[in-house]
Amino acid sequence: MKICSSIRTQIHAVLVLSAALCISVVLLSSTSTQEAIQGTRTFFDCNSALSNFYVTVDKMDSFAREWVYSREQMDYENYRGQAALAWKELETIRTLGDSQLTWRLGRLENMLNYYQQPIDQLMAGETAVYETYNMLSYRCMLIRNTATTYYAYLADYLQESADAVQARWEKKWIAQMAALTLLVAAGMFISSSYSKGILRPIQTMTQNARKVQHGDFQLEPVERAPSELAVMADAFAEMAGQVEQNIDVLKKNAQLEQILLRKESERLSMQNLVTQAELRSLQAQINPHFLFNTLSMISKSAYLSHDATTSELIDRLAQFLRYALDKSSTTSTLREEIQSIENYLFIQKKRFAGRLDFVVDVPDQIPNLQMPAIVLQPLVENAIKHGVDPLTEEAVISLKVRASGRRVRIQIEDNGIGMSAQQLEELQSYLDLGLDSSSGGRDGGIGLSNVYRRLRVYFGGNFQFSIESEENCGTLITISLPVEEDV
Amino acid sequence: MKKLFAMLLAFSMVFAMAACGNNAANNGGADNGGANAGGTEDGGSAEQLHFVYVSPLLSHPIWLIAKEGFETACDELGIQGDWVGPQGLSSEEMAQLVDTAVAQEADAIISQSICPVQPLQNAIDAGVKVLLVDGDHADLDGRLAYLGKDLEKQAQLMYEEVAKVIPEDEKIVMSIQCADLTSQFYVDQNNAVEEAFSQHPGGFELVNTTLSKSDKATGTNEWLNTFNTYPEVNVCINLAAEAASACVTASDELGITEDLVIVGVDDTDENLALLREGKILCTSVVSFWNYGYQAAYWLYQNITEDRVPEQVVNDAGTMMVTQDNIDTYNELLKVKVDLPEA
Repeated sequence: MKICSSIRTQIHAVLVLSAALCISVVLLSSTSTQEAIQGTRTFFDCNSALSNFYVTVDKMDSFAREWVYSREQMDYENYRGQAALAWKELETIRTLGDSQLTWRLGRLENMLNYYQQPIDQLMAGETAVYETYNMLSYRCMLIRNTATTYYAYLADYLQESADAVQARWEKKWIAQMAALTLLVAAGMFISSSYSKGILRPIQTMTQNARKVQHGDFQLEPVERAPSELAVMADAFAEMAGQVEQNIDVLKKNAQLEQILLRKESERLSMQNLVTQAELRSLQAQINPHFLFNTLSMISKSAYLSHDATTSELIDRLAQFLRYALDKSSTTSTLREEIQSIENYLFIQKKRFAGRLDFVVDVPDQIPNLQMPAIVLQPLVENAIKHGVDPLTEEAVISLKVRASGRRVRIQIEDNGIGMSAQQLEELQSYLDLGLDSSSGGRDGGIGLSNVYRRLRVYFGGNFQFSIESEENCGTLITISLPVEEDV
Repeated sequence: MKKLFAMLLAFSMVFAMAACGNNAANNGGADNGGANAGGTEDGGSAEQLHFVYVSPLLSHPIWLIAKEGFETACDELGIQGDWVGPQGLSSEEMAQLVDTAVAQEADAIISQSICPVQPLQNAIDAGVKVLLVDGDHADLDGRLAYLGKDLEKQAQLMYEEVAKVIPEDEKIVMSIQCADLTSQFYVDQNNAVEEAFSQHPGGFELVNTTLSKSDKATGTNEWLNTFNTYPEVNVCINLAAEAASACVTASDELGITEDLVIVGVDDTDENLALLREGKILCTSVVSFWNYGYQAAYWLYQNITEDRVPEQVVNDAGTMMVTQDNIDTYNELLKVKVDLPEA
């Protein structure tokens, strides 16, 4: 950021400039006025001197003519004194400095000399007294007669001086107006420049403030700011940087809090599931012995009545229920799960008669790993309920278990109606969000989601659960579980 | 940029103040011309020539032409020229003005014959160059020259113009009006007219001579008296500038202008207007311009180069203005003739 002089300095500069302008104008006006006053005063002095000159010449003539007859030294001295005074008055007028008027005064001086001639001639005895007297009188009259002309000269001089003063004043006025115009124009330019120098950084700072207000911390640089504004701009930029850092920290904290909240939500969901399972368990434990005894009695009664099928169905049902009641809140093994599913399939097979075929493909060497109980039954139940129930014949549900390395892959497949891509996506979303699939209307019992969540709680992230399905082409659910040592 | 403008401001202020200061400083001698009556625009100096033109009438229109010529010459030659004179005809006042010029140690004086001889002679005796115009003093010893009308030529030209409109067998009954008869000039002028017209075959009679006193009202009154007293007058010779218009005024009043042949002198605006109207036949002119211009030149050439005219009496360019040359005569009057080299 380029820092210019301070606002205070700039304001001082403008004020000093304005003051200089005003002083200049006042000085110029004062000079003109002073000149006019001085000129007028000088003129009146000279006018007075000219008047005195003619009065003095009269006195001089009076003394001179008196001397012509008296020949007294005192009269002559008086004459000479008055003559000297007349010359002095002319010298006073010369102070006007006007060359034309000075030349004219030279003519008057010649006339004074001309006046003196008869006296000199009388003293030299060249002229008679009477003749001298008349000559002096006439020559004095000639001088006196010039008064009108010389007053006119002085008036002309005054007129010319006035014209000259006016002309000079007009020139000055034009010069002053030109200078004023220039100064005002330049002043406006400089003021505008100073204003811009102050306003532009303020506008940039305002834009920066708006940016910060809208969360944009990419601030425009503040160029050529006065020092005060430069300090403010620096402080603002620093503050904006700190705000940006604080907001980043807050964002990270919020993300962490969100993760924690989701974890907490998952924990609460799990607790809810457990509670639900416990509730189901409690409901299921309502006099189970009475139920099992009753079922055993019915089985034996059917057997005694030579109804082996019914007897076996009841036995299988009793085994399935016992497993479900015993293992509902505990873990089980893969083999127990398969045994339970075989009981379930036996019952379902009798139910669907020839419409449904079950294929169970479980090798003997499959590791008997530990796993949550009642995991496969809901999946098979879903396959029957949503996959093959709508089919009238040749419905097949297969359960295939394979060991691969240190993992066991369990596949439940049906050839039912399958799911559309949208339905499959929705189902996958339910599982990802931990929601019960029943909320989507697909499951009335322990839902697919329940199975998924229990597997996740049990195995953590060390299991795989995938659903593959196409509309009218069946559904394949694959679960990959680690062997026991890895759990 | 701001510093640049600040410097520019300071410079402009200093410039404005300096310019005004210079104006004030220069006022001492810049505008001092024009106070003198016919002087130069430069201030006078001790070495500057000082010419005084003592005219018979300070502000008479015809003499103002001479003044214009005098001022033009003074400007061209750098002479300090004073145009002075009485408001009305006054030989005494002219004498005093000549004496004043001598007292002021003027270098040259131009005047007219109404001024008495003695002051002019005193001036010449005091070393002042004197040149007479319009009217001469033949007895003035030492005058440089006389520039004026050739009175015989003027009278002859007048007769020639009158003879064009008066049949040879018709008698000329004339009345003359001039400004004054105290000057020999007017006497000579009248005599020249009488002599020129006396050659008319049909006969000539001068019945009356009156004076206008350089005043039109006076002239008009005199002409009314003349027409009433001498109704037979058929030629009116006006030897004063204002006399012709006075004559026309009187004849118009009596309704006899058509019956008269009126001749004037000088090319005043009034006379030229009457000439265009056909109320006067012609007007005699002499170059009043040269009374001022050439007179000043001759004196200057004499003082500075010792040149002298071949003869003392010189025609300043007498001619007759008629309706034929009224638009062109003026330029012919401004021809300058230099003095021959010494």
